[in-house]
Amino acid sequence: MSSDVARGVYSSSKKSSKTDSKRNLHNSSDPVLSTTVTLQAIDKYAERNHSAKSLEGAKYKDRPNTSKNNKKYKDKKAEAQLRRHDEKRVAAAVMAAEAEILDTEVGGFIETENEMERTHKLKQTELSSHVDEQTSDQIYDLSLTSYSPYNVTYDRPGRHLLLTGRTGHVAIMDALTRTLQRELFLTDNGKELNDIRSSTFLHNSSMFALAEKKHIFIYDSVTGAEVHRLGDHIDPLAIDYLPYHWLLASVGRAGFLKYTDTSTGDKVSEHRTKLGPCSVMRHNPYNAVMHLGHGNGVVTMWSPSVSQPLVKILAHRGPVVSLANDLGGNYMVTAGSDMQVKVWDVRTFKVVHSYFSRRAVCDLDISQTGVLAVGSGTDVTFWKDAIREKQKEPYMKHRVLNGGVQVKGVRFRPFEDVVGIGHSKGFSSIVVPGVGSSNYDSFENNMFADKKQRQEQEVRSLMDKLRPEMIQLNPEEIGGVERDKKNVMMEKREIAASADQKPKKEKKKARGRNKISKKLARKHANIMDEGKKKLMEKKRSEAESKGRGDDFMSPAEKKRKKGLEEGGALSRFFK
Amino acid sequence: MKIKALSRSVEGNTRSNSGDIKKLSRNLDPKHKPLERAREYTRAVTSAKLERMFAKPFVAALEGHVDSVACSAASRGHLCPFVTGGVDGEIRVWDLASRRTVWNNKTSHTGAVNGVCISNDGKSFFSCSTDKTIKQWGLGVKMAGGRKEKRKRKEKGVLDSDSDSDGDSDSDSEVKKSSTSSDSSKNPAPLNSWLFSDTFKSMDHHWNEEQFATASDEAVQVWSHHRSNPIQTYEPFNGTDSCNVVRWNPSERSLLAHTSSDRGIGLHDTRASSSLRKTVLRMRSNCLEWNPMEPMNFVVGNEDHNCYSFDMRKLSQPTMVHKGHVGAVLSIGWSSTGREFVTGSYDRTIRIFNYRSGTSRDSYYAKRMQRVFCVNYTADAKFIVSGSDDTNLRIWKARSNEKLGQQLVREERATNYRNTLVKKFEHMPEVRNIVKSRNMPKFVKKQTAMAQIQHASAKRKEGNIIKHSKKGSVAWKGERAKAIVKEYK
Repeated sequence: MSSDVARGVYSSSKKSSKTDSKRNLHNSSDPVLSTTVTLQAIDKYAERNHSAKSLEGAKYKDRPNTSKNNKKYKDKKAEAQLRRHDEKRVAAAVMAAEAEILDTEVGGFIETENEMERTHKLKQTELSSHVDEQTSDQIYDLSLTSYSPYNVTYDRPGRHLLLTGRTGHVAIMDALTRTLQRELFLTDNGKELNDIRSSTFLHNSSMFALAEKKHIFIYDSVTGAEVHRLGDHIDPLAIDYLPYHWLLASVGRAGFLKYTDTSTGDKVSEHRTKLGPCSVMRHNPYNAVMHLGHGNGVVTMWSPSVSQPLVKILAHRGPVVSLANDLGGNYMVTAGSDMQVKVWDVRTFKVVHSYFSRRAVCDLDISQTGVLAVGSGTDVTFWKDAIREKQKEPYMKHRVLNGGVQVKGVRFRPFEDVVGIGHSKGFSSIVVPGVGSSNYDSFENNMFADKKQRQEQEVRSLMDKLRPEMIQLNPEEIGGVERDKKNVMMEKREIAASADQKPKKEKKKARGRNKISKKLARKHANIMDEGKKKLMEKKRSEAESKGRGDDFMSPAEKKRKKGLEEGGALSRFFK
Repeated sequence: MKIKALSRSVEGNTRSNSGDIKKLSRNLDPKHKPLERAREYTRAVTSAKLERMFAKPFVAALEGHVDSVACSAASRGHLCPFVTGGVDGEIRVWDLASRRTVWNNKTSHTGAVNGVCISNDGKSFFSCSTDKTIKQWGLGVKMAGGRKEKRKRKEKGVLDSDSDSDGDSDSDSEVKKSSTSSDSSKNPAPLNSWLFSDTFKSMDHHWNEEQFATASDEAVQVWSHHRSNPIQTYEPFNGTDSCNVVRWNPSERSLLAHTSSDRGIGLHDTRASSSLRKTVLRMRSNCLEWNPMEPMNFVVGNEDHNCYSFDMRKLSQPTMVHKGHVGAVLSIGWSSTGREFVTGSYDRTIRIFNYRSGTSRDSYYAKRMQRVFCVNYTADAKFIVSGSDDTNLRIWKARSNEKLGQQLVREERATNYRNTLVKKFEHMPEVRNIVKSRNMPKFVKKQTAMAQIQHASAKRKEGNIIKHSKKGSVAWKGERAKAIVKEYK
């Protein structure tokens, strides 16, 4: 897709110099530059479902009229409406691009001063001396050994951190201030060890769900009280939450993918994957399709309204260990126990490129800026631009606690240059510059929301709750016209037309008359060809010689013969 | 090595004290706003629902008339005066803001008042009746009401109409006296009256000059304020029947349109002695109004339940057929924007049409409302006033879900956003069904269903005729062409 390339060009120009892009936007004296900026703005901000064709009609002031086929519509009114709509869309995209100069923050980065310097040689200890105190405070380790290994989950604004120890320790922390908000020990008074497989926050950080040994449980983050037990979800291995649909999804040992609406408590759907136990599940944030990685190396994509997988990809020769989706929804990265890490284009379902890992990969994550984190063994490596093109060396590397631990989970903290690593000896937080999105939207993900804002956000998101049927591979199709291809339309029309007609009634025929051989014989009975004539002649002459020539006479001949034989007055008429 | 990492502090991103405005950050990147279209669509459905939830069009019913309200007139230049004439010969002047009668005369005419119109200066109004008279009445009326109304009036910029004109100070003072007690036994006297040989059906005032036109049983007459006899009289083409309605063109000073009982619509030029042209429809037209913003166009309301938009330059075919009523259309009122008009019908409903749409945008009815004889938009295009057979005048909102009174800026912005969303997805079945659904009275619902069946069957029949006739001998006739029977030039 060309739009992605253009997007890349746009963001890189923005990074290099802000003033340049500003000049481009406002200086219409240079038509080429301003046009490219406009096009990039359209690519980035205009609705994606509009094809380039519809853009041809748009006459924006900076845009030279490049349209080749100036299609004249029959309906002038509709044409004018379309044109006006396009103009508005382009103008809105340009305005959104122009508003980028109002962005207050610039993203983090590491710049090398000479070619000998390598960013992946940079250690956290060195890094902490380069950054301000608040950032260096984010580099810390928590030693938690009794309930390890630990899983890490951040909420959507990246303010709260949920740490779940496998055997029953749960901690909710304010990730910004590094204070413990609530701590839970779900071990039945220490008598029995729990088995927490997976965890997720719900629509905001006030509640979270845990996949425990038997069921999913929902807890309140403030009081730590158990709010709900989802009895339908039996033996879950992985859970995930779709915030815009308010759906909690789980998949377990039986291989059933189950969706529950957390606003009503109803079970929305239950799909049988038929692929055995599954513990790898992440949703694509672009279209809310659930991606499942299975034990036979297959990745399946699911929507709650379709009982079959939307897509099935044979991704690895061996179990899929982990998968991650990028924010734009175009790429998926999978890791298998065949030591491969593969980058997939989700639009074509093809491998873009693949990496070989020396050690078994245990977890993957993709940051908001597209940095890939790979946790394997004791290390976590970070790969910049690894999705777009194949990289030779990592951007950064981190060996947790100088080795001796097994990494369990890696998660980027949204809107910050921080990465949380859960491992067999607790939790580590490190700083990786340039992984977080530099600007947050207060109306979407407000990490500094006060009580009132949080309440309002909750009500609004409930009002905008999307229906489960809206989950499909291309979310831009919603509210549009479903258009079949021409031949499909024709077929449908024919079927509809034939449905109106009465079916032809079969003729009643005697038994055995319908054999092919008999049918053919009947058909050919009265056909006279050379062979048949000869046969007839032969039979006739034979019969005549035997004195049975009458059998082969025509009725007229018979009559004549009879007349001649009978004689009398009329015999003169028979010659 | 140069290193920079993101670092956000709580102090830098939240307000320091509760009096400050909350600090907000924006990121318009669509990557951070996933499922945008689905969310927009969901909001559009919610907005459509809200629109129907808040649809409460009825504002007030004004009592006063003791018989059917036959005709009404709003001032063209001013917001306030609104005049109605009753079938029993009573005339009332209303202050719509305070919802009160400010002037009335129970014995204005001895017959039904068939037409009222307000003069251009707003100081007097005219009425015509079946009793063969035209009367001019003073309108030097103080709009009643307390201080609140007065302030309201000042805000609206209504001209103070209590300054006396020179010539008729006597009668004016009398009008004022009567206005203080609306039920006074002494009825006010007209400023002028004209006696004629014929009954009047309709009248209209010239938009600029001191002239008015009347439609009577035999012809159309043009009158001057200062002459006792009509200055011109026109008989329509093939003029054997009576004229129903007459209306002056808003921009062409000498152009008149009328409808007649022989199902015709005609145009007259007052500079010429005979009529310009005429077209005959299938059924009689009951009302005619010019579009105030596009004065070459006019709409007629027909006995066949439809309204027809015409371009006066081309009377051979209407530009649009507006369908929806299930009874004869009796009156039409244009919005001052020229984009919408309202129709009152014999089927006891009023409908609002976009001037370019074949179906109505909205339809109103009330439990006790009877046949609607007159409808008008107020000059601010926000309200509709209807007068009906049940002797009441009703005020409706032009947009049924609009909030009355001043809105907060945020409220207005939210409303605009909602409206835009509904417009964006108006063709989606879910949104369309919500927006278009109306609970109509049983009678109207049944009749509409029946009309649809009849229309479908007529169409099928036409198709069959064409199918079984010689090729090319019978052609399809469009819905618009069907309406016209004959055109005279």
